[in-house]
Amino acid sequence: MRSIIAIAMKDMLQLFRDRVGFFFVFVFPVAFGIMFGLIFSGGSDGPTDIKLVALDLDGTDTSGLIVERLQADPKLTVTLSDDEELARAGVVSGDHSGLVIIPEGFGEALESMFFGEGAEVLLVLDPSDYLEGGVIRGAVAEASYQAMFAAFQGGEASRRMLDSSRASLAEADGLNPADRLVLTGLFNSLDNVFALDDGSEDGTDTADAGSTAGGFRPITIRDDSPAPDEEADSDAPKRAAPDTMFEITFAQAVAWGLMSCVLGFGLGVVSERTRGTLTRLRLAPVPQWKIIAGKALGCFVTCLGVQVFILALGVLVFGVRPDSWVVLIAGVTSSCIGFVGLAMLLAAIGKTETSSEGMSRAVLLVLALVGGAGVPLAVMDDWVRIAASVSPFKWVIEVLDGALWRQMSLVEALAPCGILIGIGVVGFTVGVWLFSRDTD
Amino acid sequence: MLVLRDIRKRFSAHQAVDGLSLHVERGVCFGLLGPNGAGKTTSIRIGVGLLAPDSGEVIVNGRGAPTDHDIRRHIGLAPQSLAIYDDLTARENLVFFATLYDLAPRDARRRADELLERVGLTDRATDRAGGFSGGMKRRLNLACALVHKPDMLLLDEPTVGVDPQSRNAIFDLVRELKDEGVTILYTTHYMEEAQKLCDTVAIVDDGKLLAMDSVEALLSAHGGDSVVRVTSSEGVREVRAPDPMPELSRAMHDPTTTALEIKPPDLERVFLNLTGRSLRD
Repeated sequence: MRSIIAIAMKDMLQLFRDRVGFFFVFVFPVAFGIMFGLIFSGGSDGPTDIKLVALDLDGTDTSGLIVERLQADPKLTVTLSDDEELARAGVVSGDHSGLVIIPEGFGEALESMFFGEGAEVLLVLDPSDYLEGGVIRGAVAEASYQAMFAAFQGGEASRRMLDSSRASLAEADGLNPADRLVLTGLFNSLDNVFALDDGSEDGTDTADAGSTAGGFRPITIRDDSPAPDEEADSDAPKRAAPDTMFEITFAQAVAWGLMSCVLGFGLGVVSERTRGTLTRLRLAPVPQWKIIAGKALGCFVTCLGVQVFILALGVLVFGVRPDSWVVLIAGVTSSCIGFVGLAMLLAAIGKTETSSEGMSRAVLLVLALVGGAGVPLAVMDDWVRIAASVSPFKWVIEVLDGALWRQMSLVEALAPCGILIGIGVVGFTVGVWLFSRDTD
Repeated sequence: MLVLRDIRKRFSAHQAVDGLSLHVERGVCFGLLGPNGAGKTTSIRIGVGLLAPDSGEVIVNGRGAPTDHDIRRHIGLAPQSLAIYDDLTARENLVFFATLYDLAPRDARRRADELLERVGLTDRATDRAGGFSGGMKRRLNLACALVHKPDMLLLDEPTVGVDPQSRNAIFDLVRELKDEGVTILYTTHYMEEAQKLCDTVAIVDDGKLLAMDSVEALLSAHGGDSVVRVTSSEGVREVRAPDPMPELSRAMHDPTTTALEIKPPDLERVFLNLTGRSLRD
């Protein structure tokens, strides 16, 4: 055991003393997490080309205006549908990020907004597209209010709304007399406003109308996305929103830290091979499995240390609040196993430092980027998300996201953790086999 | 101590070692002399069990193959490449390798300090090896091979790229080790080193053993005549003779002689006579 620990300690000491290696293992990932956390928190433009299906069951001028406004939104690609079931299926399957349903009676409910339950717009969102979901919510709310104010800005629609409201007021028997008096006064005042408005130029710019709504909410945007139970069979994680963008970027930072660990340890073994120190290790009366175990232990401890360091910084300084410590521990541990396997594979494949470094950096960088370590997978195209499944970085980020803010259960975490452990076992086995062959 | 019997090793189309047989006696300094690419390093790697021969047999201490860990405990190797960690200090390098040989931490540190003094690196004990000169790295490389007090030490081109001071320090250490009874297998392509240090020399080329004997015997058998070079007012002339004394005497009594030079047979000439080409070709 002493030789295993000695090899592990020596490898870690070497990594920590290598300034460049230390920078990429500890400093760069944290810098990445902080920088992109600040960028995302600072209101960047967010995702674009969001696929939204619009289902107008109301068919009124106002509902038509909402659809028009949505179609005019540059961030959205709106497809019209007349089949609710098909449209919902499209969201569940991930073909679309969301579905907006303007139910029948929307226009009528809007005209009697002071009475009744008010108008409602339904939203069905893809749980995995948390960023798109936010954009869609905002766009639908803005389009709804803009359409409403455009429709009621003077003219016949306004008068119809007032007449409808007066009729409702007259029929409302149980209304408090004081409220009745206030509303009658309000309707009379609105009459005067519309009369003045008729004499002025048409107000067509309603861009800020939404902001005048204040506390009065004539339109309710109701989330009609699948309930957690309904999506239990789906591969998609539950809907949740991070408390802070650092919960997303620090999971990515962990992925970068792990990548640097793999490079550091994998290339370290290649360097030992080319420099001859591996020869000396092999000549020592230490079984080969102990040499490999020592190197694996060093890599494991460093991977663990990197993750603990980054996540602790996130928790202590940047407001990261893990939803599940159990899932987090499972994710961190399985990530260590997975990336130790990768490091051993890299160590066995690499023959010269130069070629190994170039190859490793290229392959790992592509895997990291495809796996969502650079840009979150949520904003990537469908084919990238599918391709990401081959990347171990995807599974690291998925399980860490799940632990940090997606409310992933331990059962749900079994899949990404299992895949990471599988990668580790396969990588380690192949690496050890190649390593053994290399003796002769 | 070390017996290599009819060893053969091929790498693709290249026959690196071709039927090599060596017998290294206990306590001697055995030189393996040959040009670059002669198969010396491959033979060393086979000799310590790092490389499996295609055929043939290696026996250490009359007990068995060097792949056995108990046998390996008695072998030390200073590879031609500098097998030390640049990011570790000199002492850390030695302590690390000592730990692999099951030395307790305190014993490992004590042994490290002994060796640092022995190779003249005590004052650089806490400096990282990456900042050492080539000669200092060579000395540390050699010290790392000695942490476990091996009975047999294999030195693969231990003086390549070192300054004269470090070379002399290495020579002194090799002599001391030999005096302590350590068996040394010393590979080099510098015939002067083999001639200075080795009791027995095996000359190899293209993986084959050309000759093996004591230095004196090799010189006598394959070195040819001594050459007396006489410079006089009449010009320069070279005389080859098994015994140079008569020619020397004659030249010294010649009043026209201005300079005399004697070139006794050396291993370079032995190699030339055996192969028809120079050792450094």
